[in-house]
Amino acid sequence: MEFRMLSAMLPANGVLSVPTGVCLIDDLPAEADYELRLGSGVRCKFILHLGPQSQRIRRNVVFSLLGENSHLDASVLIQAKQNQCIEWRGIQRHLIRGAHSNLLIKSTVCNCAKISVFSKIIIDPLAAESCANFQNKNLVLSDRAHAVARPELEIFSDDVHCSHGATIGGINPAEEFYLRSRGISSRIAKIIIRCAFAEEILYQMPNGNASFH
Amino acid sequence: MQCALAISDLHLRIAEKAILRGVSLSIPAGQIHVLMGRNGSGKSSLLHAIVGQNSISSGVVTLDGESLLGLPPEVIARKGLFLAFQVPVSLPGVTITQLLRSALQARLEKGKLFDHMRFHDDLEAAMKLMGMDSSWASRHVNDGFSGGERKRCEMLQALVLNPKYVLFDEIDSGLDVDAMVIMVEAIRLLQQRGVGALIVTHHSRWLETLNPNGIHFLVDGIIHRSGGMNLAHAIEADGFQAVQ
Repeated sequence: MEFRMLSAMLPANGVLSVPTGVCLIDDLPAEADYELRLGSGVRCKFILHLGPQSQRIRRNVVFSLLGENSHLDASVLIQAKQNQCIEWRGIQRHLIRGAHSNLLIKSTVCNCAKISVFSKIIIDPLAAESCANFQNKNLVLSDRAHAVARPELEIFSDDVHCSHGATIGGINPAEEFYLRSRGISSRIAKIIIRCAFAEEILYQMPNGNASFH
Repeated sequence: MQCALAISDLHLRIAEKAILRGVSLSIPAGQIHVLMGRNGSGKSSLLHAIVGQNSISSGVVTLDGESLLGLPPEVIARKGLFLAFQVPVSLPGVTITQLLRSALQARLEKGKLFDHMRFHDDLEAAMKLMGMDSSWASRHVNDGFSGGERKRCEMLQALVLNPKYVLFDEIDSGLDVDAMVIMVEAIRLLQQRGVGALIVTHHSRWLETLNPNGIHFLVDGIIHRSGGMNLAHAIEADGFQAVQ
């Protein structure tokens, strides 16, 4: 797939008809609202890494699957530190039959930072045979850090396959002990676990964008 | 000073329950000792206590005369102890190469550079011995591994990290016949390097070719009897009741 930067493609009205066969990288400023429309047969990937750009970061994204057999694979990595406040609001909207969408959001939250993930799957009445998945995994690395996850489903059609789920938790003590039993310090073990958590999304990024802070 | 892993009058309580009630055991360098006993007799707890996971109530654990009590697990590991877990956790996103490189880098003396060439040679040689192809190096640690693959991965780590002592917690469980032969070969190689071993197992037949220096029978947190292979044979033939 060809990597394309969203900043170079998004029209002023914030609505983009996505060409097929591209991997869109969201490189927009800290706060952005937009809609990505997938027409018939369009297959695309979407990657977003929300990191240390700004104190307050917000995304409001609608993925509209308008065409039959359109297919979206979206991955979002959120990394909040210090006093950052990062909010994701997303909708996977299936408007016609036979479309597929997968959205994975992984976040790490440290220090006093706060992450909110509000994500909704909407299956319209005409969108039978849709397949939509949403997964959100949050790794909370400090007692003062805060993560909120609210996955929602609105299904107005029969014969669909939808799933959603969210987890919020800290570092697994068994994983940390395993690394320490190999001689790795607790501090480095935690860094390894954090990096490994992000790896699933980072490895998809083009060279130069694959950095973990 | 005698090089040995020595445990003396070790007591361990977990949630007010006495798990170990005065275990004493000494394993000189290069020797293989075996710990047998019923489920729940304290075998795994003993291994975990030695490597610093379980807080010891009283007693002494020394490695080459130096006390290990109260040391964090990573320091105990760097001093030369390696625990091969009975059920190793999976680490999605961490490759076997990354794990081993990080573990070896943690052992580097200040100012010394990591020898990447030697690391890759050692890893390659260990994988070859364990019957693993080169793709193993980039597999995520125990992620999606079968039970047998996890055990082989534990042994691979022991071979590369080259500790003074390896504590094997049921390294034989889940292995097929061929993998068992490989495992015995690996333990032999470690022994040739002067590595001592404490092996927890429920089966004695695979130990025949290793010719262990001692078999110890743990009952309710105490070593009830010690002996040679004849003790293991008696347990295997007639059950624990016969030797208790």
